[in-house]
Formats: sequence, structure tokens, C-alpha cells
Amino acid sequence: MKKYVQSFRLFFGSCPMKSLAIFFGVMIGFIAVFAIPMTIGESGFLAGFIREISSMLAILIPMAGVIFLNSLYTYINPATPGYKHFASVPDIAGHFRRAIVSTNVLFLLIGAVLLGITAVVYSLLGLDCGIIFSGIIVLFVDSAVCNFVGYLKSTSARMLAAIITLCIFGFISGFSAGASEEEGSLANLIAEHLTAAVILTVIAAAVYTASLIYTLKACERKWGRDK
Amino acid sequence: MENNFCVSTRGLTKKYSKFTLGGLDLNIPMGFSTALIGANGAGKTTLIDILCGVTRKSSGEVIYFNAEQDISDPALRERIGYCASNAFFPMGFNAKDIAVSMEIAYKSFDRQKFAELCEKFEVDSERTKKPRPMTKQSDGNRMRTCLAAVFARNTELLVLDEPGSSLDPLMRDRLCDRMRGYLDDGDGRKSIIFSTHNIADMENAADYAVFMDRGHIIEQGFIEDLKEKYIIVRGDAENYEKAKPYLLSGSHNRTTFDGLSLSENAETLAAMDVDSEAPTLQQLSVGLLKYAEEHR
Repeated sequence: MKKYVQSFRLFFGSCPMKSLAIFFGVMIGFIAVFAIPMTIGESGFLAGFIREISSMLAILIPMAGVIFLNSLYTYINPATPGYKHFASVPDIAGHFRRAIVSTNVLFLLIGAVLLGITAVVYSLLGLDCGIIFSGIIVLFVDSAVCNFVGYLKSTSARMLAAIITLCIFGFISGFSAGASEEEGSLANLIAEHLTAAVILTVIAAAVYTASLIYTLKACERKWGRDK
Repeated sequence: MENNFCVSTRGLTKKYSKFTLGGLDLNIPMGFSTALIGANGAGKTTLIDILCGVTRKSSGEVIYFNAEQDISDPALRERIGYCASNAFFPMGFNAKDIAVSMEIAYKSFDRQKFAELCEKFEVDSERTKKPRPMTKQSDGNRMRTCLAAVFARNTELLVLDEPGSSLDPLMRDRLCDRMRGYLDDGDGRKSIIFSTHNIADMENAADYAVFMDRGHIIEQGFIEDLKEKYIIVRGDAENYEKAKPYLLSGSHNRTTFDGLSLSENAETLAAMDVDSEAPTLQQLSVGLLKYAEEHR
């Protein structure tokens, strides 16, 4: 465990915890902002606005943790400041492997905690908690995308992949919001088709696992010994 | 000093689409400071990056400390201290982040010594109240911080890529003193390799020189030996045409000429009323690089 934390700190320095705390504070504040209009008083405009935004928010929140994962992968690029420091470090392949694992775990943890907080806030506000399920899928798929494209040299290509993922899930989110109207809510839709929902989650987790295996193997090729 | 080299290369080659380094055959003596001298694009940084494991070689071999070793071996990397010009550390890192990262990366990194060196070099240390990130520091201060980090380790070979390029003259002088101190502490077992395209300010720090041009070595040797091998000549313009066949490179105007020649030609040139003297390293560098340029 200590080695994984150390390898993470090798790439992120002394105070990633401070950055994390600030990040958490901002995201929780962002979520809490939605609670305020609802508690102030009843407004049809605000209620409708928050209902529609809530579906987008649950998709966006898990993707916010991508910052750390993308930062890690940029250090592979020789043009990135810091590359020479890391490339000359003893056992850099081992450090990078452990940093990938710890950053992925951090990414999932951040997403899970924020989704949990979002679920609590949504249930208190009487919003459709079914969208949290979409957030879980996005969490796995977005991490997988980051891992699969992490070794692309072009930062633009990596960003494009992230944007395409966001667009796809934005579409799915809107589609599922529309599809759930007959059942009353997305939570009801999921409950009606629980098996499909579970299968979807398992597939997303499997894709994520495959991405982790891929990136750890690619790491050895990238930082490994001369052939 | 037979076979007592800190680094040797045999047929070392690195191929890029528009540039090829090598094949280099190099023997860098142990216990001395070696200057890699060459114009921009000569291949100095490429060679240094290969020696430190940052870039992979295309072919050839590199031998460290008289034993064949793989640069990806962590134990070997612990023995080599590497500092590159500009942007060596992530731009978001401050002195504390650097200290943490270096302490995790290298067993022999002395965090206290790093803080003391930062203070001596007059840059932010982790003891500074709010150390600034690299992005908010000048090129010179970034290089000072990098040098503090590399000197805070216990190493046997220091490899510095253009350490003086962004430093002011006073700091360059301090750096030369520190490099001398590093070699003295090693008692013949520590070595330094540094690259420069401006040798004038770093001349005091160099014992051995390797001159490079377009990915090839054009000359190498102990500086004192090279100063005996070559001479700088000066004469009147009217004697230029007679002296020209004996010059490796030179320049002339309406009244005078000067150039680089081999010492063995000193008497012949003296008979033509051409004066000669031992060159400085700067003059030697310019003369040899000019010769290489004219004979590509």
C-alpha cells in the first residue's frame, strides 16, 4: 500500500491531498448549489431547470476525476516538462505501474464518493436517483477510455476521446430521461429492467478491467528495458 | 589510467528521421570533468539522454564504470546524477514537491542538503514559506533548483546538460567551484560530463573535451594535450596564401589573418613570419567546429 502511495507522490508531489480537498470542496459546493433554489421556495422554472441539469450533473461528476489520470499519462510525452526527470528515475516502469493503479483507484474513489453524495442530495430533493446508475457506468467507461488512450502521443487525440465519451453519455442520459417518462422515473425504468442494468454494469466493469490490464502491460513496453 | 573510464561507447547510434547520431566511439575518463562541446544540433543532448536512459539507442553499446551494464538497472541509475536544461521538473512542482519526488526516486537523496543548497543558490527551498512553482520562476532559478537537487544526491557520475546556459556569470563561476569540489570529494572515483555550446565561461570546470558536429565526434582528448596538439596562428594578410595550406580553419581581412593549425606546423609557419601560441579552449572549439563545418 505504501509503495503505491509513494509512486503516486513521485508524479504528483507533496500536496495532492490539498488539491483533492479543494476539488472535493468545489464539487460538493456545486452539488449543494442545486439544493438552495429548491429550499428557497417553489418555482416551476427552477424545479424544471434542476431536474434537467441533475441528469447532466450525475454524468459530469465522475468524469471530473479524469484530471489526475490524464496528468499522469501526459508525463509519457517527451515534450512534457518533467518527462526527463521521470524517465531517468530508477525503476520508473515499476513506479509508473503503481501510479497507474493508485490513480485509477483514486479516480474510482472520488467518483464513488461524489456519486454517493449526489444520491443523498437527490433523494432529499426528491430528484430521480436513477441517474446515479448512469454515473456508475460513466465512471467505469471514462476510466477505461483514459487508460486505453493514455499512451497516445497527441494530447488533442486524448481530449477528443474524452469529449466523444462525454457526448455519447450525454446522449444516452437524455435518451434514458425521455424513455423513463412512461415509468415515471429512470429509477423505475431500471427497476423494471434490473437484469439488463446489472449486465450493463458488469460489461462496463469488464471493459474497465481490460483497460487496466492493457495499460499496465503497455507501461512495461514504454518504460521497460532496451529490446 | 588504462581502461579506467566512467563511460565508454562502441558504435553508439541513434537514428531520427532528420538526424543520426553516431556511430560514436567514446572513452570518457573517470575522475575528471568532461565537456561535450558542439554547436546547436550537434547531438550533445541526444548523447546525454542516451547515457542517462531517457532515450533509447538504436544500436551500439554503452559501458558504465568499466563493466557492461544496462542503464535500466535501478542500481546503475542510483549512481548517476542527471540534470537537463530547462523544464526538467514538472512546471507545477515547487521545491517541496521536488524534494518529495526526489526522495522517493533516489535512496541517496539528502533532503536537508537540498534545502541548504537551494538557500545557497538563492532559490526557494521547501523551508520557504510559500515556495513558488517552477512555472513562476525564471529559467535561471529553475536551473539552480535542478542543480541543487542533483548535487543533493550521493552519485559517482554527474551528467549535466548545458548547466551554464541560463545562469548568470557569478552563478556559473560558483557552479565551476562546486563541480571541482565534487571531483575532489570523490578522490578520483567521481566524474562529470557536461555539455555546452559556450565553453568560455565553463573552461575552468573542464579537464577533458569531446568536440561534436552533426552527430559525430571530430576530436576528443585531455584539454592540456589538445592545447599542445594545436596552435593558434596570427599573421599579416600578405602571408595568408602561403600559410593557408597549413591551416585547419581561419579567417582573414585586409590586414591580418588568424587560424588554427597543428603544432607540428609551428616551425614552418614561423618561417613565414606567422606567430603562434597555445589556444584557449574557446579558440580551440571555434577552430575545430569551423574545420568540421567546412569539411562536411
